[in-house]
Amino acid sequence: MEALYRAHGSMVYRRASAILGNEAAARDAVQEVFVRALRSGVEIWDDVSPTTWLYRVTTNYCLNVTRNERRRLELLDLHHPRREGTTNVLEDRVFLREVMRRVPEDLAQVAVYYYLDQMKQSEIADLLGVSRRTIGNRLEAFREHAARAAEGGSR
Amino acid sequence: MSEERFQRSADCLSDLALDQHVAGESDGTTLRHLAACGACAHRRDQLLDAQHDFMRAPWVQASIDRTLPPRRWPYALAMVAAVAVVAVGVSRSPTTRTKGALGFEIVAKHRDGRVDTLLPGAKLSPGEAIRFRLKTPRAGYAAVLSADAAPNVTVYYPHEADALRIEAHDPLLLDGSITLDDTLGAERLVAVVCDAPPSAAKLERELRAALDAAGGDPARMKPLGTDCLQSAFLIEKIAAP
Repeated sequence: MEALYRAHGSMVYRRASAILGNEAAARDAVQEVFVRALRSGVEIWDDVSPTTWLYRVTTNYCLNVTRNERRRLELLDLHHPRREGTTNVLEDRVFLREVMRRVPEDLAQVAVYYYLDQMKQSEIADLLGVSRRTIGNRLEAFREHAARAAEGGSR
Repeated sequence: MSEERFQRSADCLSDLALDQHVAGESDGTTLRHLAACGACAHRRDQLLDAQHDFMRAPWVQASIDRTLPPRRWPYALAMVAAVAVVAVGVSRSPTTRTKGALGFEIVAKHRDGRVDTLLPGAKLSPGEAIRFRLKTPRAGYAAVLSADAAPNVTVYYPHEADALRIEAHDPLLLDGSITLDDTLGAERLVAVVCDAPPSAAKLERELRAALDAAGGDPARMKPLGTDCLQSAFLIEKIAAP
């Protein structure tokens, strides 16, 4: 177990912190991700790298956490009633996280990889097993959600 | 954990590529890029520092202890550990990136007769035997090498000048076993699959160069500078109880 933490723990923690924006929640995420990895009984010869596999697990876990949080908190309008444009506001991680809580999961996943991990669209397509065009479409849809949120109209 | 963003140019490697590199999942394209790009090399160093600092954080050990599986989990643990040593495929060029990874599994026969699939960082003793199983996403020619703490490098497979052919997606259990010698400490086992039969001498030179660059410490070695698919597995040899 220590070897797994040593090889991948800081990566999981860094990404969980970026997605969740909360250090304590990120620590919980590290433990949960490794527990889920152990419980999953993944196929021994899966042709993916462990890092890629843990990227997916971490993203999915953290997005679930943010969605559960959303049920309790309606922060978007509270903190960001007005935004101008989407290019700059998407560099605002707090705003980005808030939008991710509100959009469908497939859009939130792509947003995590593109805006937080700064991955290329082709890399995201490989990781998710979809076409690059699909990634472009999902990013565009995410930007539309963000634009509406920035105008204070997203509910 | 800093919220500071690393601003990279369009040509730079993503954190995914760098995380794979830091985790020892080699990519020849990544190695070449790092040698030529100061910004990405700097980011790589940041990730290495973070990895080092992470294990020293007090909360991490407690987290490891809480994550340790109960007895009913050993099978799942073995599965995850096996996946954790699978490395990413290496592309021959940026436009022909190979999807999938080179699977590298090690099975050990212990002194007490037990046979099990090793976890990363497994502790073994001199006299115990190991066997290798590979699975590759593309057909080619395999080799398995070792770098130990002596520091010595050894080519385990193929024997002599024989080419060791492996077909895509068809797991290959290599013939015979390796009996561990008396050298204690870390030992890095490296599997490669190349498009053409690899030169054992050339692989040995590359492994020696990587070991020398790591100051003779197999635990600190970086991936080989080869375009072959490769995967590495670190074990620790300890004195027999």
